[in-house]
Amino acid sequence: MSSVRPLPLILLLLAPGSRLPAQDQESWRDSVARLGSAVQALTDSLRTGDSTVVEVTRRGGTVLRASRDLQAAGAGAFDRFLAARQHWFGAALPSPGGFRILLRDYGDYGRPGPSRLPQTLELSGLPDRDDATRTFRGARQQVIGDPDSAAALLLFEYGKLMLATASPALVKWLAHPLPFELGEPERKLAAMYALVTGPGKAQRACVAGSLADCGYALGLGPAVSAEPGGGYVEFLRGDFLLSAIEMGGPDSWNRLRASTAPRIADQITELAGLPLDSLLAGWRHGLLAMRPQERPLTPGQAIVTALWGIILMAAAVGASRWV
Amino acid sequence: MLKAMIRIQWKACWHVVSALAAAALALPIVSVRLGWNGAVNLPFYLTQLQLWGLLYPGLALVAAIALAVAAWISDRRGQHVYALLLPVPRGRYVLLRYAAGLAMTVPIVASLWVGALLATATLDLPPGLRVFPHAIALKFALTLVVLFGFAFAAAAASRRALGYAFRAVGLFVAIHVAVLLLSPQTNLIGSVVGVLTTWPGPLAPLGGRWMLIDV
Repeated sequence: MSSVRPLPLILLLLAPGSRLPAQDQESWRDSVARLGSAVQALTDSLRTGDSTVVEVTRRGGTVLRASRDLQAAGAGAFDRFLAARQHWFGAALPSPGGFRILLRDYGDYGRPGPSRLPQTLELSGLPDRDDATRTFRGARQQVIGDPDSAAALLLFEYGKLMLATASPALVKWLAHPLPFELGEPERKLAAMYALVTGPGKAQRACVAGSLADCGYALGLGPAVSAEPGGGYVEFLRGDFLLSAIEMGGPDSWNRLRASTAPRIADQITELAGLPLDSLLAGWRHGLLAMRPQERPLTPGQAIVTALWGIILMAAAVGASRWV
Repeated sequence: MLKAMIRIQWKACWHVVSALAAAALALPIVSVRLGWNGAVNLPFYLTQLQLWGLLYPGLALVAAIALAVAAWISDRRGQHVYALLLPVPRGRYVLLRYAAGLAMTVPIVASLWVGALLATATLDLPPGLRVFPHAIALKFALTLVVLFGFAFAAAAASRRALGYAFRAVGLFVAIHVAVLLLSPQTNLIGSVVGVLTTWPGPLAPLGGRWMLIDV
């Protein structure tokens, strides 16, 4: 046996070789990332499950896609949503990677007549990367089929995404998502009733004009009297926060996110750029102004109505010439 | 003579008055009690109450027409012969009929007032809400008086007067259509309705707030 024959093998084993592509960790990482994107896309397509979902419109880095039956409603909801988002949140986004909100109606099977396929309304904020914040929600067809209610639902879900970027203390104080599901007039009306009908001592004092008691009742400050009673329902906190955002202007949300103040009252003050007393006074005044001023009857109206009764009686006498 | 007239009127339409009084008694009670679940969802409850409030002027309209028709139905059947035979001036006779008809509205208004008081008496309302049983009853009474006046005048009118009235209304509608064709923005009927239904117009009491409970 020749001693030279194992030599090429040994040389081959000892010779430094270049790494194979499959041994490159960076390419493994990229492969994993691509595989993850493909899985996410497949998951989304499975959730969508509707080959008729197409892009309906896009503007300013926001894209709306919808099933065939929802495209008209989606187009209407898109404009309303963009206007509302600009009003409440300005240019702030839930995350640098964008966002995606998926509303889905699950269709109608098993009943007599033709089945109704699931319908999807999907709103995406570009770049809509892998790190985009996403939310998915089922909704009735009557809701997502109407532009106003679909826009309100989109704004509600978007508010949840935005609220997730606020401080944990603020989220805990609010206790509920921002009350965007109600239209503004309905929300204000509900807030007015909640403000005016609060039974506690501090709540009554707030209606009477004590801003310190308003602050206590909203959970923003300490009690200023003995036995102040309970606070307002958390819904009013959401309404107050929205009122502060309106007073602060379109950049309010960015200021809120940038705030490092530990107290909620200070965060809201920084958000609006106004003192807390001014915010409370403006909010309270706005709600109390919504109280109906008209009463069932005033003395003047009673007199005028009685006079009309007499006039009509005289008219009856005059009209009754039977011959 | 007024007492006799009221007695005759009552004999002729006591069943109509009783039915309307029962409806007037039930309306405030049902509107307040139905849907009252404590102070759980006040805005929704008050919105419902506002919708129920539309039935108050509706009941007043039905009562006014029913009582006005009942006041004159026997005379119309007899072609007003009985009225003309009485040794009473025509104007006075009409006033007596009017007063008797007004007297028939008293049980209906009283029933509504009692119903409003009963409906709000035992409610545990949160502070900030107020009740208006007296104002609602008074508004209902005045609305009923005005509507009764309209219906009574129409029911008492002679055929000639009704003919003139219908011709006048027809002429006004024709003018309205002509003006509408010439100037689509001009709405004569809308203007007249607006004048009648806003203060101090006669039909203004039908509108406004009919809230038995309000903030």
